[in-house]
Amino acid sequence: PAPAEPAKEAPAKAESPPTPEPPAYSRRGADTCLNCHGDDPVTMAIFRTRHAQPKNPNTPFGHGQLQCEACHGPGGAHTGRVPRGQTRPPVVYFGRNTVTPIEKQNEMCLACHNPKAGEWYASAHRDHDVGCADCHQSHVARDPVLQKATQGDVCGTCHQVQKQNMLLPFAHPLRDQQMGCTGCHSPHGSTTQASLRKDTVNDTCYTCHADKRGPFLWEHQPVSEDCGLCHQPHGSVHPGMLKQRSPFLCQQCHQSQGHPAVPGLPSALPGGAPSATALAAGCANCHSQVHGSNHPSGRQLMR
Amino acid sequence: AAPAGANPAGVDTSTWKCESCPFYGEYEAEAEAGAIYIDEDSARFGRYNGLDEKGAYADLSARGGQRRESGTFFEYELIDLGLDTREARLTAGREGVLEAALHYDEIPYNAWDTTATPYARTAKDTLSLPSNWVRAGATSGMSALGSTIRPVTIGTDRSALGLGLSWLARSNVEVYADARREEIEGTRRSPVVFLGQIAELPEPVDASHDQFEVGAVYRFARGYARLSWYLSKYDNSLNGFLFENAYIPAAPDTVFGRKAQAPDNDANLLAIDGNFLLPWWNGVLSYRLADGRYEQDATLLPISTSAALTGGATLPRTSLDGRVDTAHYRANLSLKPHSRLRLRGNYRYDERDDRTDPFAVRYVETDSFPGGTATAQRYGYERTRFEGLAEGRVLDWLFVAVGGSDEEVERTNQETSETTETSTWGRARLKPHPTVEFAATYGEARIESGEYVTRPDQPPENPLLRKYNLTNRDRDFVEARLNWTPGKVSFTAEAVVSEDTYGKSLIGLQTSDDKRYAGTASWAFHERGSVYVTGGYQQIESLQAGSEGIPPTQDWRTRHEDEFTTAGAGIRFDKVLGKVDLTLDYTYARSKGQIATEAVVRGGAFPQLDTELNSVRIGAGYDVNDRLRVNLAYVFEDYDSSDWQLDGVEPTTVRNLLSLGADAYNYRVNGLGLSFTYRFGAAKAPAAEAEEE
Repeated sequence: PAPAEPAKEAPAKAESPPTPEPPAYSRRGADTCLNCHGDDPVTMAIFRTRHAQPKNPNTPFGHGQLQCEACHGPGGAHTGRVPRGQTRPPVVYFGRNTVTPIEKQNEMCLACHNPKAGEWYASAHRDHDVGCADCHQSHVARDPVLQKATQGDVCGTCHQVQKQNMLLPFAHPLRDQQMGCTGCHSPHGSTTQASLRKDTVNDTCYTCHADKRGPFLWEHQPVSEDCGLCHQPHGSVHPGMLKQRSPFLCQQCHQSQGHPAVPGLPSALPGGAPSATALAAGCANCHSQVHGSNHPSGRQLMR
Repeated sequence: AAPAGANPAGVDTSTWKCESCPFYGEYEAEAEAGAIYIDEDSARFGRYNGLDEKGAYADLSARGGQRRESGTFFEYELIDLGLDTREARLTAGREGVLEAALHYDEIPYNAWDTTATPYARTAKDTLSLPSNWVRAGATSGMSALGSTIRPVTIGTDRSALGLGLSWLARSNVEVYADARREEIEGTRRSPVVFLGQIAELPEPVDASHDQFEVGAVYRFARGYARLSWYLSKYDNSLNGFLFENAYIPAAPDTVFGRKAQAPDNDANLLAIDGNFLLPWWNGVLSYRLADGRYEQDATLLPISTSAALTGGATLPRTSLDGRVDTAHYRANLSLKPHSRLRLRGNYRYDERDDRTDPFAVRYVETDSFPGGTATAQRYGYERTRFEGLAEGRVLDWLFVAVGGSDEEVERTNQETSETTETSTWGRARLKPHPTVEFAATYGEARIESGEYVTRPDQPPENPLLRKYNLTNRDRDFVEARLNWTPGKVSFTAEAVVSEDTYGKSLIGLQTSDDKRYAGTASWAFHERGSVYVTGGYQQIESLQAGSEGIPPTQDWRTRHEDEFTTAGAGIRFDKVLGKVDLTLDYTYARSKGQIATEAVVRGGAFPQLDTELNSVRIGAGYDVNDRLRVNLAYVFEDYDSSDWQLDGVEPTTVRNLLSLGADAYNYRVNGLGLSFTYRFGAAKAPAAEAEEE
């Protein structure tokens, strides 16, 4: 489950220089804010979310907390009188095209969510100046990026190539909304390959494909090293999300004399001299245990 | 009292009553009931959505919950209960103290519905042929096939049950536990072989996977630390399965063969991770230390089904007693010594240490003839990677970054004991206007391998062959991304290009080029309406070389070109006439695969691999009143494909391959859904209104 977020015990992680003067807060907290924003359904929707739970002392609306200003920052100037002709001083706004720098926005979120984003500071998203609010909607009860059915659309907003890959003929079930990007990736950052959730590519795959883990009596070397040597996890035009189909993929590493060195030829198709080396599963018609075999006679991965 | 630091500024909030805050307290729910009709059978259309058969399906979903003033809460969600993708989720607990979640879901994998076989499962681990089966030396002689072959669907159902607990033991200590059991049942398309004579059959699948993780997170003034333990247990109800020989056996007592299935195996991992916010340069140190182990001790199958071929040989052990130790250590240091300069350094170490004791096994080839004695190789690696990045804000609108990495991989029992990959790259990010961002990266990565020594396997590989993960490779890559959001219009585009050359490979993979482009434009033409167009193009080309000559030389090449084109457009308009929400989406996807073998007699191009998808989805929702909504959905999908590995391959087309006769996927499906959604409890929720804004 998504555990409750306890508050951090120290001041927020500051990415920008410290403010010299203590900031001024509003006089009555959320009651002040809602004087003007109480009719805004987007604002009011916060009360249907985990962020606004008065019985949870760790949420912005918990006892003693800073309510709206926990995220939007001190609102004293914003809620005070504004001389005619002057613009109302902003608070912290969230989103791509707001006056608040992305770093400042993220700083507000990370003040409480640091453990949820442990390697954020090492993440590709941070490298590209992605804001928490670019992906998350904190004012809705069901944040689309946290829903399996809608997560792919959110990630695909930027990851256009991966979004198109969902349509490849052989792909994981993202288009069918049976899997989300976070099934494999850790968007909050990781220094693993491709920001994977698990420590290695293979450990990520074993989460769902534990039958490939072994160790087997007879192992196939690339299988135990990196599933991505043969498979394209974002999809492929070849069965099994393989980078290329058999026999050609196999022949990129196996060329011993005899049948492994015989090229795949169109003459091996129906109408010519149909051959099991090219048709159906190709090499895997015989060497079907390409992920390893635990049979005592599985030396050639045929048993 | 609030936790220390919850209000870091020490603001006096005693007068902050939040009297105008409409905290959620009433039970609310909504339920959807209706039906879906699909007009055609298609495993491919219903591969993962459960709509694989012609007919009607119940469309049942519900969700609801309540947060009480006492601080307790519960939420539930039931999704698609009438489909094979059904899912249920229940969460309950006490705010800020305890949360428990129960989760169940199913995912089907409908692989084939055009397949047929004479094999039948006559015991849990046995696939037999009919009693009147006529064996022959080739498929054309299997005269009983026509009267015994039966349609069979291939696929699996995966169901998972999960339980999660999270307890905030103290304001800065959280303890959590997650358990998940997954069961997989069904069949997979599986070839089996006797001495080059192959039969495809529906291999039974019946396995479970249990995963358990427990951990604790401790938050302190300048960071956090987490200790966790993960356990995974894979349990296969079948160690292997017996299959009857459809051909005339090569040995008298080899009417049945046996193939192993994935063995039961365990994995566990103990890890500590966290970060530390440094007191200078806005530094952050993140780290993770994880040690794990894979173990496998499943009982080994007999050497062969044939006692005569086994020749009295016995296994030196009853099981592999396999053990692999894994280690993963990584650390990252992020610094911002100046408001315009950011630095980052990463270190990562991975190890796979196969500690299994090798032993010699006397083996029998495909239950057909004695093979000799062999000892299985154990494979391991150590991978060490250093990575660095520096980014400076050169101008207010220009960010320039340079980075690089060095990765060394040491392997055991392979052709090269060491490869080193060095990469360097540079990136420019331009933000000339708050609504425009463009980033472009160019880099190169070079893999240098140590001495490549062909291993003394029997038969040995061609000495000119270089396996692509073990040899030199030069890669050049370019990535670019544009985001432009001028008001009501937005445009996003991405390009990723890489070119690989394997300079030392006379045999094997020579080159591989990968080009991918995609983009989407959208326009919010009305406060409640928007349209979009999207598209992409990908091209993956590669060249490989082989040799069937003696002495070994490069005497054939195969060129591959895979292309993938997508296009789509859609419109969404909410609250038409104040009551109706409309969506319309069109999706097109076309893939092509071209393979041509050159410089060899009888070479040439294979028929083009093709898939084409055309999909239209229309949705409409009508708010009858504040509680009742009528939903209408229509989907049309047309899918055509051709695949020379399947086209024209009937069960007896190939002399030595009794196939299941799977056809390339083709379908044209219409689906219609009508459902009613009723809201219980409070009238329309603010959240829903907000989402509709």
